[in-house]
Amino acid sequence: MAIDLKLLKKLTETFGPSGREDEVGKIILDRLTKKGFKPSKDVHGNIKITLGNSGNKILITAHMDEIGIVVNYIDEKGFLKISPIGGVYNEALFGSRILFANGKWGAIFSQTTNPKIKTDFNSLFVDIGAKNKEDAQKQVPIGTFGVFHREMVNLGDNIMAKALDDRVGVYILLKTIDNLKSKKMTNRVTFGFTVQEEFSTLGARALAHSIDPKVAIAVDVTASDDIREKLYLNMTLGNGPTIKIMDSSLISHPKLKNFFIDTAKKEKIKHQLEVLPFGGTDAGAMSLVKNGIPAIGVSIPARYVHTPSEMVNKKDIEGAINLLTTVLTKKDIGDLV
Amino acid sequence: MKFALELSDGFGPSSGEKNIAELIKKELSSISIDLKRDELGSLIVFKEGKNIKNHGIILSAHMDEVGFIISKINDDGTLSFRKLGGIDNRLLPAKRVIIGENRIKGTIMSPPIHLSKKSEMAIDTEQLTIFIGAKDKKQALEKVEIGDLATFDQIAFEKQDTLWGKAFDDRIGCYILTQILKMDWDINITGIFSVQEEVGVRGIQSALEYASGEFGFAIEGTTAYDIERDFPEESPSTFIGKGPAITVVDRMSIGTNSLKKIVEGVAKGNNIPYQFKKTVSGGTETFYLLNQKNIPAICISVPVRYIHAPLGFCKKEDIINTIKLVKGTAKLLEFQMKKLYGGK
Amino acid sequence: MDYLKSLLEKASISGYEEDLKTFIVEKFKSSGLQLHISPMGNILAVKQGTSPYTILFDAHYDQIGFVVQKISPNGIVHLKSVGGHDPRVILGTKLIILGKEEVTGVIATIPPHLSSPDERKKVPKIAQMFLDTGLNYEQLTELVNIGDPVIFDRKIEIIDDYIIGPGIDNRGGVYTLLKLAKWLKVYDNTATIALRVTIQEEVGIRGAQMLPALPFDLAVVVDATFAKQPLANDNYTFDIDKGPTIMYGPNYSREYSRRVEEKAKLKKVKFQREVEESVRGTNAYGYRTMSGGKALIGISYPIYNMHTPSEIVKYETLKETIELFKIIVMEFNQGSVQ
Repeated sequence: MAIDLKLLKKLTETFGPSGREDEVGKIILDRLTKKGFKPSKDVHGNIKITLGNSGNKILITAHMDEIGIVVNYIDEKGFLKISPIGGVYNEALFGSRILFANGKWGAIFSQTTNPKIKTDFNSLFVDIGAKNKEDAQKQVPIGTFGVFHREMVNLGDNIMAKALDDRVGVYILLKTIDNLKSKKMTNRVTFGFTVQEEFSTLGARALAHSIDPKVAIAVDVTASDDIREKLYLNMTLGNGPTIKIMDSSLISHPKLKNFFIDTAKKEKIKHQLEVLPFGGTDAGAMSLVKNGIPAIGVSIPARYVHTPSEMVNKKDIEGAINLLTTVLTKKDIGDLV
Repeated sequence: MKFALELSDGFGPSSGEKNIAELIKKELSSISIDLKRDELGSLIVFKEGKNIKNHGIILSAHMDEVGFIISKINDDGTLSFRKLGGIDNRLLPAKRVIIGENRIKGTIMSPPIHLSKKSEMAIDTEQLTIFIGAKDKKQALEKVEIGDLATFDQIAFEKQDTLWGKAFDDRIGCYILTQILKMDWDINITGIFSVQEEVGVRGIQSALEYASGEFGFAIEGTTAYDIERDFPEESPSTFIGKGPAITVVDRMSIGTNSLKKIVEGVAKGNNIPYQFKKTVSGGTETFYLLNQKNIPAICISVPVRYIHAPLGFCKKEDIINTIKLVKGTAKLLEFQMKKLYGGK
Repeated sequence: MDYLKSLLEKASISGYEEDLKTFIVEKFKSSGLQLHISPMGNILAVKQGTSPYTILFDAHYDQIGFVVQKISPNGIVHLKSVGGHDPRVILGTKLIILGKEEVTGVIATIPPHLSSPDERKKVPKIAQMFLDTGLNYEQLTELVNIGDPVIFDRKIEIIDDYIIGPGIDNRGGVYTLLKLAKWLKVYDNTATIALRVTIQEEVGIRGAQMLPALPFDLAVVVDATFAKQPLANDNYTFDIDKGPTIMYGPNYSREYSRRVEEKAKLKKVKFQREVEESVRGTNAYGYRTMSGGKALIGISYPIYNMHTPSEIVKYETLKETIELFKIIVMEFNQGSVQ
């Protein structure tokens, strides 16, 4: 099973900061419709389809949104001041290109050389080449959303792109749907493509509320140990998808965790265990909904998360699709909890 | 090695080593020896040689451990204290201690992190107090008094190939001495179980007045900081599991080179793993063996992770190998003395 | 007190509460209460009354701890904190990994012979500390896996009327609810009484944000608070031996608290007043706005050394806390304040 690079390229390069996910949503809607499904979209922009019509309700999500910025002020010279949408990694921003919702471009730089504050959002500005304030306001009005645009690059074993967090999750879900299409389902599995994970996890919470599943799974990216010293993480690129045990938002339900580990072992799917001392995903948000929904995460280890050059390993993606395809067809998953 | 654990559990902060001396006396009760406790409290054990009565070696190990002394009883029933020996202040908050003759259980108070500014800074010992369940000074005085000594409260245990406890510096040395003393010897063996090493290597000075011999060995539990470190180039001192550590130089003395060579030769000849201590830190009793007795002396140690802390551990194989090395060296010296001074 | 000791000896790290859960469920069952256990591990024990008015008592039953984050090839175990730890008490501390077997270890410390006085002034971050078990990588990975919970040594000490040990926050509160359950067995209640013990408070008040199996009208949240002790800002601390505190602040219903205070004075049950301006302090955060906003009373018992392996509570305070509970049951047995 080779990676569908064309699909992944399209997904990662598409514009979709938190709150402005429609273009990503359209790709998903079109694809699913073409494959004969009847996807639906809710008021927030979440997209979902359900496979199977009997058994336990399971909700599995990947978020469509990516980190980005919003224009909040334009100065006399026509430079834009911006605020972050989601956890933007400021240190990686100098010289980044901003692609705005309306297709306009800008470059990002700092007003100061003071090392203490030069990467603060108060010091950063975006230059769109405008003549003056009026020109800038006409081209990129205040309130316009933007993303840090880059093209996807195939590095052989690895892939480098923006927004792999979490378009790689979207990709994994789409491929898992393909795999399950012809299979007999023993669970009612809802695939949710959520909005605003990077901002407030609104999408996942709303979806969990409306579906009220017995089990929730979020597919996302996680950190990797191989880039920084003294992080002491157990995850590295290429050693398989991770089964999340804990992050700052979630402690995976122990029975689910064991079920995932046992299944992976039985099916000989290479995997890693994830204890992440920071960060959170939709899984954490979903776990708090209603009476508390047992939840777990499956993640792809990634380098340089929240920069325009995120990097993941192809084998890990394939492993995740494999693991999820297997797990979701197991009848007992919903009976565990 | 049950006795090593028993020794670690003994109560013996510097200047209050009586309990340890009793444990050692009991352990040695089955063998024929002369015992003396000097005024400071050190235990001098003389075992006469079967063959040669006027010559022998001196072995020393200290009975005391790092600990605390109660300096004040506060109105709120808590106790202020000072440290006996070098203890990192960062190890103290929320640790449990045992105080005084009555072995009163205490807890070092630790202000909640939620209400602390500068939470990354270690708290000064002067600001810490011990809680003993007393509601005021009067109640506290029913349990303790100023000047009472205290140690960490930690029961020793054995786990796979390791021994764990609070006081392997230097009860492990005491353990090794007792084992050596129990063996058969043709020469005199003098074992000094000294006091007050942790507060300035003091006990050995008076005890040596009652000892004689041609060679001196200080047996210690020493620092092994061989775990992942901030700066790998900084010295781990010794490694656990790599055999006894021979001290070439410590902060106070240089081990006699000829004796060092003998010890090394014994190790090599008997396939005993050994290592050299890699830091010039800490003073040992070697200094007084050299200077007060004017005899060749050297320090041989068992590497212990986390000495001067509430809980440390060492490897059983290191203890066994240290005993082998000390015994082997002493046997070699015995052989040479027999050659020199006649006998059968 | 032996009962409390055996409770405190159970492990209940946030997310790994199973051990204590079994204990609690048994105790509630033996008090004849009707049980609802959520898939996540929140336990609701109900004694049905004759009126629809429901009083819900809550105590979180998780404790702070660690999980194994990584095992280095050299056998060093790296930990992730579960809940807020004080780095100043962690160095040199004995911990137990609950792996296939229990594996004991100690947080590595540099011997003072090898560190400078300046180094010794600053406490490293917990993420930079290591657990040393004395086992090598192969031995360790036989017994321990990533994600295994790690607890403080179960060193529970009873000195006169004080109990010392880890995780008194908030298993002391759990104890009061279990005792209340016993009392309810013989109490003829009109209102429905629901006792809820909840998960994962220490990692962000998670259990109490999940809806209980039963709607309620009045919630009573019990948790630990700070006892007066040296070096702790006394704006936020309470005497260890002057009774539990009754909470005031945006989370709490003033009229209800006042009623409890009045009755407590009549019955000569000691209490102190505590103010909490933050709404995110305790489980009260979850209940106050739940299902349209409900009345809420907060009761806290002062402890020394919060979030350390040597938390200390006065047994008498827990007994007084139970007395306050009884007052609340009797006072609101017939319905609300209005």
